[in-house]
Amino acid sequence: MKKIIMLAACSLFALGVFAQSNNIVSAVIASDNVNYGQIAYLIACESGLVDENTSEKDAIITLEEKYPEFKKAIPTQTSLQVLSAKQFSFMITRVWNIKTSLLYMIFKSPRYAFRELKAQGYFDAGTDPDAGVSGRRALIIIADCAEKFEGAKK
Amino acid sequence: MKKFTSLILCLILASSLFAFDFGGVITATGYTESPVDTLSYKQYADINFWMKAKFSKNLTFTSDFMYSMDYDTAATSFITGAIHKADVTALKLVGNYELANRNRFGFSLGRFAVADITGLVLAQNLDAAGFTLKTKNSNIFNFYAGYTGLLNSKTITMYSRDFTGKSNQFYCLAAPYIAGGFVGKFPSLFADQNLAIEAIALVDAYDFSDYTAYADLALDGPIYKSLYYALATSFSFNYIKDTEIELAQMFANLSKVEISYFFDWYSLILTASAIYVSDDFNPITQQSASIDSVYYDNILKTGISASVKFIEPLFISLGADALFAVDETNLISGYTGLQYNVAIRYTPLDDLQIGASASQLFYADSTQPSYLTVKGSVRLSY
Repeated sequence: MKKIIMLAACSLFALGVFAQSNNIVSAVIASDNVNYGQIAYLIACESGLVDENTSEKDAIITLEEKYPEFKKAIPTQTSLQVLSAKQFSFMITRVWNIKTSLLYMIFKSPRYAFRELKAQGYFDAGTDPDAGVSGRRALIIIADCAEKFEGAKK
Repeated sequence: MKKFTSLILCLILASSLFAFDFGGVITATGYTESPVDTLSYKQYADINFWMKAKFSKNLTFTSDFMYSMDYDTAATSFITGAIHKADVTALKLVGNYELANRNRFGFSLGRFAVADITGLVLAQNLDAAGFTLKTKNSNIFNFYAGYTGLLNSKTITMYSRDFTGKSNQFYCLAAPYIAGGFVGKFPSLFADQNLAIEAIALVDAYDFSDYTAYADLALDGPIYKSLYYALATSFSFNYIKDTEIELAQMFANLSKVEISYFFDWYSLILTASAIYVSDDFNPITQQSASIDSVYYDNILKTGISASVKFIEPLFISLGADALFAVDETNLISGYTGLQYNVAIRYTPLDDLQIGASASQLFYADSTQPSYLTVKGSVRLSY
């Protein structure tokens, strides 16, 4: 799965044929606003919690068992719910245990998770924390964080 | 209390209607700043709070508030020894629209910061309306018109011939000027050289007797490989009603030149600079040319500086400046002093910064004690 995300992130513009080989990755690439199920699947696969044949719903269940705080951060918990930038950031920072902000370490909230990823350069300064995240950006962030923060993962 | 509750309710309502974000910075500083024979420990605390509401893809409302407290421990009591300041540092509606042929149009209404191309003439907040046109070639044309009389003179120091504001605990109205400016910026005009031109007009609205116009020119770009230069000059013409000052004396000039070399080695940057301000040149925004708060007026300041990052979160800078006085004939009349500065900034986390700095000014007159500034600060973004 890691190779799929890495390759998809690296070849967003060039390798459309490859993207067709995986329904979820190609749906993510085409998406203007990623949803909970898509990101839960990608993160769970990427971090080795589930295999590639798992459904999005099962990925959510597995992920929420390990990270119960997701239930509070993403209240409706349906796989089709569009994730805000701060909810997406919270999932990323929890799974890869990214701790580059004092206030995030104290409060562990989606708001400061978003600030962390913004400070790391993954979001522009003017990005609205409540706006959605495009599939292309989400894949690039997941691929990059998986590589950069793999050692810190819980 | 009712007003405060209403404000909070409005903010909650606004946050549910529009994309809404907020944040700020808290800074705590311990410092000493005075001649070496009268040093005392002072404390400074500063809190800044900003809010941003995005009404649509093109329209954003931004506000920024600050409060600071400066306390000299040598004072007999905290009540009398503390200086409080509060200000609205930004309150603006900003629009940004795409036009035909990839041109862009933007506007700002309210209180926002302006800075002339020298950065030394008019670099402060204005209550104003500003309009920007950015062409598909990245040329930028900006026009603004505004008023300074509602700003807080406790947070902005401005030149004024006659105006003296009424003192108040937190807020003191600044010198009233009507200001207008036009800027044209032409990036990569030729051989990667950037050109900018600017015209600024100021009317002293206190008694409508003082009129000043500035014409600015700036040029910057690479000289060879990693060697860069920046050149900026401003000519001013000042007209004062009912005076018999000769016309020739009313023309004045401010010029600055900077040459920098960027090394690959630990992001080292070496810079040599010079700023010349002739007699009769009065920048509206008064900025300090030296650590003892001498403003840019009748002065030549030359210096060298360096900055380096040995590891990513640690920034170190050091520099030295020689200061000279300029007389009525616009020639250098004598050496004033030499100052050095050293600063270290450590950013262990994205939202936390710890800083320390020291500066000292040695006067040409050896009987005068040197002026020393030593600061330590902690800064947290929330």
